[in-house]
Amino acid sequence: MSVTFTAQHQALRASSPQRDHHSGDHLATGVASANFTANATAGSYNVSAAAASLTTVNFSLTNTPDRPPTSRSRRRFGDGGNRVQLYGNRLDASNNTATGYTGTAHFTSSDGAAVLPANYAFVAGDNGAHVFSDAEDGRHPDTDATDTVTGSITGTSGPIAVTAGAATHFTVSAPGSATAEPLSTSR
Amino acid sequence: MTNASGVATATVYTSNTIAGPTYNIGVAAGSITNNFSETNIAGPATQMTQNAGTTPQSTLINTAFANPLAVTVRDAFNNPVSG
Repeated sequence: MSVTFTAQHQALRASSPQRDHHSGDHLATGVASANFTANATAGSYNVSAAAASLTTVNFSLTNTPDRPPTSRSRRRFGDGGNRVQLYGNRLDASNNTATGYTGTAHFTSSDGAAVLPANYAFVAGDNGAHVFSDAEDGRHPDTDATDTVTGSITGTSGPIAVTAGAATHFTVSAPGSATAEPLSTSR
Repeated sequence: MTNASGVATATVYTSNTIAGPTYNIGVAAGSITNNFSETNIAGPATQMTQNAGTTPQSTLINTAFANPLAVTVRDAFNNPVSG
């Protein structure tokens, strides 16, 4: 009896022979198997295994974001330039939000008068993103967000510098209707 | 007891629900012995299940999943069915 493994999304591919499909005759042990590889698209996907009249079974596979040595940050002033909200997003090189991130972000500023968020430990429910309210006076030129464990990845945009942990990087943005400078991004 | 042709016939043996391995049935007539080799083969496939450790799985993008996706096909008595 032949068992056919089929990926429900192109984010997965069989290692061989086809890109997203693999059939295998099971051995004397009754076992049929196929190897699958994640592509660059993060997310959760299914692979089905079907054989003749038997009930099809499914496998749940998750492509998790990568850990590249890159970072990105962005900023715009809001609320008349007086207050800024920061949004922390852990991103990988493919800009997939690292939904599993549970590290701690620490904010600093070169301006001692800046009002910054306290250390924040991302929880599973954040899914990699968190809104930091009333974070900073828009006049303060430099703000850093640093992963408290590893600060090897830094992103800077405009007056805000963002540093993230080794796993991925943060996106920091400040929404508002009065934009003092255009949204900008650097890596 | 042998018949006029020298043939002795045993009661019909019926396999149980356990497939393989090969069983031996011995026959003896005085000092003469012999063996019959019998094997219970699995019935038709009726079920397919995921093997342990194959789901759920996660891996970094652009990498292979650690464990091959694997299923086991069995008959109604949970004997693996080869194909």
